[in-house]
Amino acid sequence: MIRSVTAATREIDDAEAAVAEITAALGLEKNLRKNSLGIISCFSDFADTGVLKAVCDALPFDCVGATTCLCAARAEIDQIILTVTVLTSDDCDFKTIGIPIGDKYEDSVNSALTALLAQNEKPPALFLSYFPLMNTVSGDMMLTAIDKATGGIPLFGTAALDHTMDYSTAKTVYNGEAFREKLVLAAVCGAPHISFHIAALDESKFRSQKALITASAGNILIGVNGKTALEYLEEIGLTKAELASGLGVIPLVVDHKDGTKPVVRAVFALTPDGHAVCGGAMPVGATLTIGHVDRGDVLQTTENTVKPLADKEGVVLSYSCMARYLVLGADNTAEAEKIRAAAGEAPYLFACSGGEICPLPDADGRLKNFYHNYTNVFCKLS
Amino acid sequence: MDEIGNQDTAPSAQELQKEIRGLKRKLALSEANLARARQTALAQDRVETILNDSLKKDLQFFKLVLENATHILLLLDFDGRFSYASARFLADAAIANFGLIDGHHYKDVFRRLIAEGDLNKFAAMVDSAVARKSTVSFEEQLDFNFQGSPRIFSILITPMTDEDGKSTGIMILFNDITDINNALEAANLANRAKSEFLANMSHEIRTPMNAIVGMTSIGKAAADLERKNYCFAKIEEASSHLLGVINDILDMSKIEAGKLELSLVEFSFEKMLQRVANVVNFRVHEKKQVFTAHIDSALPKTFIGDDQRIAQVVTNLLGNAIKFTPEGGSVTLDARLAGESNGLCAIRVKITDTGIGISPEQQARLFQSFQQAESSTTRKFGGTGLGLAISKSIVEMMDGKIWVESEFGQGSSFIFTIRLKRGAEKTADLRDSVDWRDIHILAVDGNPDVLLYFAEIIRGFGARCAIAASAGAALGMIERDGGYHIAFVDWDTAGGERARLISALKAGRPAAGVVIMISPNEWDAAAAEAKKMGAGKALFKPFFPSGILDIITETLGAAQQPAEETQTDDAPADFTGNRILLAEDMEVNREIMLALFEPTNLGIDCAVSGVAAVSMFSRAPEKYDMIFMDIQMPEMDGLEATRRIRALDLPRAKTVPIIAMTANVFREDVEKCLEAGMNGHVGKPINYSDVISSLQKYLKL
Repeated sequence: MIRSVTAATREIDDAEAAVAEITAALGLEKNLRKNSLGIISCFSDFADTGVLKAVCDALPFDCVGATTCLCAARAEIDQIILTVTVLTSDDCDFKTIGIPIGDKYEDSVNSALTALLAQNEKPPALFLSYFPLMNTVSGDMMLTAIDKATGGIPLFGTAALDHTMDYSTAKTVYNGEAFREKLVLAAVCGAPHISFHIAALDESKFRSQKALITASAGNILIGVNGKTALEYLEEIGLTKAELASGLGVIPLVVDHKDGTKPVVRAVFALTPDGHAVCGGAMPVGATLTIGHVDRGDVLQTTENTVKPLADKEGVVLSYSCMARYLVLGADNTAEAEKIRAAAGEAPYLFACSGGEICPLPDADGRLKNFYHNYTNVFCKLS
Repeated sequence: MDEIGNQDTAPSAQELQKEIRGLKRKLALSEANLARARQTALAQDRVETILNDSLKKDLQFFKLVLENATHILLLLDFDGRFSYASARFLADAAIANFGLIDGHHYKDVFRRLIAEGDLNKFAAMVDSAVARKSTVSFEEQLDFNFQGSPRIFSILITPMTDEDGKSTGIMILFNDITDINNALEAANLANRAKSEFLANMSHEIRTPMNAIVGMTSIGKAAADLERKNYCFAKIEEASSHLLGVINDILDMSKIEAGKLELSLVEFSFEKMLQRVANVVNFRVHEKKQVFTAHIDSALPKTFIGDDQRIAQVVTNLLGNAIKFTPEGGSVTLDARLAGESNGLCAIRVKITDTGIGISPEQQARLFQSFQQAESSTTRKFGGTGLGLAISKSIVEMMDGKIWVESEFGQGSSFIFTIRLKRGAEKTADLRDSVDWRDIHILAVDGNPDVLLYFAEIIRGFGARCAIAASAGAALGMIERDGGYHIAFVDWDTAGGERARLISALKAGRPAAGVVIMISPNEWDAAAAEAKKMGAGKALFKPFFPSGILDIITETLGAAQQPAEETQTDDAPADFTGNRILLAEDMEVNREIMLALFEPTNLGIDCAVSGVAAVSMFSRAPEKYDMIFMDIQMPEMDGLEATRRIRALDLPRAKTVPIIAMTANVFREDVEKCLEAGMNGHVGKPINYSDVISSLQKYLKL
């Protein structure tokens, strides 16, 4: 069984004060079990000021996580905040690993995970996953490499995010250090109760006219209906400026035609050739359309998904796409409020995400790992 | 310093710097938030616009689909009021535009369109669908707008509900399945007809086969010749019938395969009708029926067309008329020129009988293949049921049509028209050899139609014609007017006064010719008596103008042109001194040919294959006056054998007449024979007359 306890601090400059606040809130002496893991979500400046390192050093267990632009724990919801969610258990244990992502990332991932998996008789039930936000290696590519190494063990987590326009300070967190190009994984070993849930876009708000992806290279959308990606997207009414903004607020809906639900991909950039850099794989042969989400949709879908999950047993981990945060406009904490309200006294983690990692059941009911955009992904652990 | 300037609570420099850093951080964050919010809002607007456009396009598509749907589609709101009706509904209901019924309750609208009972039934179904919250489907015959032509609809009523299960409306779909049902029924009928036809064909084939097989056994076992001859007669009759059935089936197959072709030759229309009349006369007289023919004098002497196929149609119609007319009834053949345009003559032929007649329901099915009027007709009267369908196809190939006028129990008239090109006018005419103005002819017949027609023909020749309806009247006329050059006397009409009448005619003019009008059957019995009375010639009924002309010129002793017909089946042929090579692999076929032509003194050498035929001919090319070549033979077929013979370096090889004997009579098969170097063909089964004609054409006589 996994129990959880959470803490938060806004002390971004005073490491001592931050550590005191966190450790006091966590009540480590009475709350910790035999094995523990810390999940960090924080404003990126916490890494620069040394508060992140101080907090992690003060905790007697490994810490994994990622920077974000908004997160919440307990009653605290804010942008400039650091939250710690501790998972602790007598019958489950946790193994962490940080893998540098470079040119030969597949080899690195494979060898690191092979070594980790060799340490246990049984494979982990889950990998909590924290992907760096990189232009050269997309989340889909990392996910595929991990799947290949682990044989498809469920992955849940987020890609790093920050508050800047170009996400230049988005980093993963591993034991107090923050990294631009390090994949951080925490294996949850044992037999915990796990369930996965997704608040996605309302399918009734997808554009009914669909197109066919005719050329792509991983997450680079090259051709649609035989035209370049830009030609097609302009044809349906989008502008180059919007697509090139990098905000990723245009949700492209991709149906893989394999029995799984459609996944949403954000457009992060345009290449000079008119190709779109998307938030995940854009396989040739999949159909493509455009979706829409507004404030009401974000709040309704999150509320519908989280309400049945929140109870005193276990912890709800929630990572919500930054695009959902953006459409909330001035009321950008409203989604987190919904989760806090649903959680009540129960522990929870909420953070905005640069890309959501969560499995979906395929047509045969088997869990298949996916990298999502525009979703709020939930993992209930107990 | 505090709010009132107290220096003891002033923040330290460190605290101020921390404050400043915090504010800078918050400012940067706010600026970033604001920029992103602005861009996000613009992107949101853009996507909303795109989705709205997409929705509009969807609506356009759906509108297009609905407007062009052949189904009747209605959308009602939760109250049962119209919110949409497809164009098909508006057209069927004769509603000018949807605005006239928009918002109206469906019952109010339907009350004006369908019967009250239908509406009540329909409303009950709607209520059921709404109550069950599930689709209800059923079939119903409805007459929208009381047009008197109800259609069958498959109706689907589907209630529409929201997420909470509350009714939001009803969709009703009417699918007109009348045509599909009719097509299904027609297909079933056709299937049944084909099954009945197959059963009928089986019977039609097996019955004569049974007779052939049975009579063969009986004949073999019979000791006396009379019994054997009786059996052979029955076998011949059954074989002929069987051949007719097979020919019908083959013709129908050709028609259905689009392979029926016309062979165009120049022919005499009247002579063709006469040949047909000769064929059917036997049955007419068996049933003691009266058969008359009327040929329009305006009809050209010759036409270009397929005389055999036309004869097939006339034979079929005459055969039916005779078959379906009881004993003592009458059958009339009337052929006339119905017009001429673009170089084509329209000919109208009508065959009328006083038979059982045909009801309107039966008439509707008559010309369809595999149908007779009804199956009980088949059982009573026999027949394949293909004759009229074949006749229709032939007539239509000649740019004509065929139809029936009949009343059940009152007899029938089958009429067909065809269009044919005129043939060359005969340069010589028998009439040229006679000065008709001086000829006075008497016709005696109890049938006024016959008398009038006869008089028309005679007067058409330019002669004078007197008519008498009885022997007594004729005697009176002879006494009053003196003698006649020729008298045509109906044997039955003259009755007991025959001898007296003939005697009076001879007395009036000793050289007068007396011609007896009679059926061929009756002439066999009456010829001796008639000749004793001084009437040695007979004109067989129904008579044709050319037949009358021949008799007149013969009687008056005028020069005759050579007969158009070659010698008849009855005339004995003599081919003494001639020898033919018969190439035929089937022994029984060789036996038939040898037996058939033994009386003609024709020498026949047999080759059992194409190889043997080439060998025998090349060894003695001058021996053979003609070659009859079967086509399908083992080792070397008849076509190859012909090519080899023609290629021989022998003068006779190029000139010897080679006639194909083949069951394949499609045009392309005949053309293959001619291309191989053959001179002509005769069909199988062998027709004695055709072979005789070929022999007479090519042999030294």
